[in-house]
Amino acid sequence: MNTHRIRNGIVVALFAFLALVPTYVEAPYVIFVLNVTCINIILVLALNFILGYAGQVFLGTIAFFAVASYTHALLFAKLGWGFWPSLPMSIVVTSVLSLLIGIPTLRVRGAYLALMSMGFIIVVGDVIKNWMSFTGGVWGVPNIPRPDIGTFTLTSNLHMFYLCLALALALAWLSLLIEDSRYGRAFKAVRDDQLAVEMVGVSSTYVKVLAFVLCGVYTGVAGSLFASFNVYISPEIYSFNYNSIFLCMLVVGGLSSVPGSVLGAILLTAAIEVLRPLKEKYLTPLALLIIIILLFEPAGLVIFIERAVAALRKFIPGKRLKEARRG
Amino acid sequence: MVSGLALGCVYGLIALGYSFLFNAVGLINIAQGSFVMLGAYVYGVWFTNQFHWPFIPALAALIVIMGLFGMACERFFYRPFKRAHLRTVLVSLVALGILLGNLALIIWDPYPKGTKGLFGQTTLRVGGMAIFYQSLFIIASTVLLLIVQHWLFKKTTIGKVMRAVALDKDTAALMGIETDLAISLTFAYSSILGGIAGMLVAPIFSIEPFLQVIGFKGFGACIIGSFSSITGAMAGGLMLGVVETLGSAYISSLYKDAIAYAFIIAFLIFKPEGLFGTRSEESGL
Repeated sequence: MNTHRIRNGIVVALFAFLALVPTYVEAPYVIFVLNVTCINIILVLALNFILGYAGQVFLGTIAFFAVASYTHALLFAKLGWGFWPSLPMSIVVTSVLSLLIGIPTLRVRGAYLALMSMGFIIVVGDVIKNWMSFTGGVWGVPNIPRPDIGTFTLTSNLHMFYLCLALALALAWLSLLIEDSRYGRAFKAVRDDQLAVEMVGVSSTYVKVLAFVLCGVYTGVAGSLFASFNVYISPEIYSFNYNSIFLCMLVVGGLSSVPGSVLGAILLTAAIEVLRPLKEKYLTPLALLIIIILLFEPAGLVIFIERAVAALRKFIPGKRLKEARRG
Repeated sequence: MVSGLALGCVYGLIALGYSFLFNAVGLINIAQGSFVMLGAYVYGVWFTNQFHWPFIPALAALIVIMGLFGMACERFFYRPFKRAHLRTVLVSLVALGILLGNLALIIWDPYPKGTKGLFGQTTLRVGGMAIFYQSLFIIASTVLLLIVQHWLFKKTTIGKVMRAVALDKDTAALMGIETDLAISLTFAYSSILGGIAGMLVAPIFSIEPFLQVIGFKGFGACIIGSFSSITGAMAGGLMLGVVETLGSAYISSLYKDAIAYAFIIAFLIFKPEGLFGTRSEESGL
């Protein structure tokens, strides 16, 4: 129970930190980056379901993200559906797609999935680039409206940020709930010993597909938010590089950990902004970082925060008494 | 058709690289495509465009460089994680792929490059068809390479050691074979195969970091054929090359990659063990 409280506390603290940034820094650039941070948090949480909890090396989240963005953009900008009807629609489209992709590919394991998911990115990219009449080809979809709440339209990036933050927080909380539920335990069981899971009568494919669909749902939300936030989308946004970034965020923050995912997304979104002068080579330090983390602390950076909090708690006498009484 | 076969040979070579490592350590090297890219850069941009070396020394240097490079990859990206969860190894190899793509950007620059190869754009006219000499060269080199490989694995000690370790690591270790060294050699060998595939495709494709994705096609060739046999890998490569070339000629060249992947995915759904493979639970397929 104690570790759960530390974990939830870190998630809340990280979101509180994000929420407080605009009160101290008002630069439009920072507000822009904060929006990107929230969207990245949702994407990393999505990847965490499949790569973290279920332990399946699926690397095609960017393709779901692209599909979600385009669904949203086309419904919203071309058909004029409005933000709130388009959002669930893009969630439905990505989760159905994840189901269709997941059922054949999740029967196989390990590197099969990893390579097929990269192939999937290429196929989705090809279709988006070449299906001119539908997706606008390489020119993308311009003039995607911002969401509105009642009669109020979120034209400013600051207002948009609060919406993104609220959704990211809600989804992070949902992730925590799922992690503690029997589904979360089933995911981790599949990751740790697939054979044993089959032996107790749980279909490992079913569990993996479930994790996969959750990944689709989360990327659906992120895709919708991104399309509306960025106002314009085009195929080159959904690149292999962007895809690698989620992976870095998850591994560096902490695999299978919600606070880790959030921490990784926050730290690396900031790091990427700092690394801008490296231009297209900015992934070099990030890839090295992955290897270093895997070598020395596979649980990710979040473990340091958890240890620090656990150590600090020992110095609070009231807490210690209460725990002693509890036994 | 001939260019399809030539492309297929290249896919087959990449597929061989995968299947060697898979048989030796049960691991599919996600970074294989990056080895191909690196081979294309080293041979095409350095040896041909900059140094103007003749073919034989350039090939020898390429083999040495790729071999050492493969061993280095094994040492730093595989060996530290060999007892860890499969996920850790795969993530480490993904990081290796990213790193190599960026390395190419650092050493060379992001602009796609071309290289002439041995034959340039010259063609052989047979009846009404024009066949690129490069295509014939690719097919001939692949056949030659397969013969050399057969000799290497059947007759030499190194080859026998590598086969023994692939067959049964623990027994091989009991027989006094250095398994770490053998695995390192296997990495070196599949890296060399990747490098040669890169050398062969350099004149056909443009040389750029994005060339890495050719690795997925080679992987697809393994799915179509089988991971466990050399014949399977080659046959899968040839089929994929022909399907891709004919598909882009008769359906749409824009969807060339999509056609190839659809073909691979169809195999994955209906015949996941491949044409020449047997299904086994232990291999994790």
